[in-house]
Amino acid sequence: MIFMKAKDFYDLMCNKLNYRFFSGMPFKEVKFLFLGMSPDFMHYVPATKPDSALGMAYGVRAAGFKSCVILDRECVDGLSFGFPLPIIIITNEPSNNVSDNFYLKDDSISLEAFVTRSEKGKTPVTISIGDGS
Amino acid sequence: MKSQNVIRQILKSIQDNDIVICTGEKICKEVFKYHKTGYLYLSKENALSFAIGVANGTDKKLFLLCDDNYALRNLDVFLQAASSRCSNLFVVVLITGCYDEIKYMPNIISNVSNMSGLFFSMGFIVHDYTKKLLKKDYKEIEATWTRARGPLVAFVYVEPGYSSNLPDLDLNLEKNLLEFSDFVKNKQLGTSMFIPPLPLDDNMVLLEEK
Repeated sequence: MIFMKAKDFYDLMCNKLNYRFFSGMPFKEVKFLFLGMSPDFMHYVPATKPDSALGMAYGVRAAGFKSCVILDRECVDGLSFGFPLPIIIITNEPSNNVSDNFYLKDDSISLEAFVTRSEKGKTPVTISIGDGS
Repeated sequence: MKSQNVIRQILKSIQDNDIVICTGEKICKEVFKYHKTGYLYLSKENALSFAIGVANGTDKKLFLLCDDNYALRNLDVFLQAASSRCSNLFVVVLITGCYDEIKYMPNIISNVSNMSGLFFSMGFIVHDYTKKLLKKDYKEIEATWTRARGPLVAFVYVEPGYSSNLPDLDLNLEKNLLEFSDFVKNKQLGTSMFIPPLPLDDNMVLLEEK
């Protein structure tokens, strides 16, 4: 089981892997992730609806910057992915709508390796996290 | 004023290093007749949020062309666009007042007492180019856009209907997206956004004094 502090998560995603744009709608499990956000290393845009968050992340990706979306599983289930661009979706549970998922409690592959592998693809992938309690 | 004439005149006012995203089947087919690198054709509802994302990631001017039906369906995303404060985002809305599929079936836009006021309250700069385009004054529109900063919404009231026998879009989305992405990332093309002639520096010294 992997436990990770929000600070370390952002250190990995933002400083090491260069994911600088985040968008989405908060939910209970990501409370500490939101508390750990800072404009020093990332740009977060609150979205009015899940499709907007996804659209903005796709747009930023098309402009050449890596992007993430933070949405809960019910929102992810309702999304339609129309662009062949790799996006990271941070969610609370794996979704049937997305084939590739990393569960932060799974230690068979490191998060860094998973994210690096996903960048070569053309479809979004999800990272499922809990609130650590 | 016919929409095909409006689209032609608007595209004349757009520079070669500007980005154009179109949404809506008929608008995409009309614009495709004048296709250049940097034009993206989306039939998806998240075209405006995609445009917000691209505008966040580049300094080039970005134009989104859509119709009033798209604007009515996505008012919440327009609010998102206005609050994004992207100064390079320009949205052109062609207002027909009716549905595409059934030519004279009106939509609710004629019941909105003040469209400009609605978008102004959201935070957009609002322009209406109907009269200028009636006079075929696209040079003035070009001059306005040279110095304008967004987020800006330009309304143009047009007659319902588009050209007949429009050719199908002969483009694969993946290929179009790849070309589009390369165009956006190409910094050598520069930007047509207005840059003040003097550096914005606290210790600014006039060149003559130096």
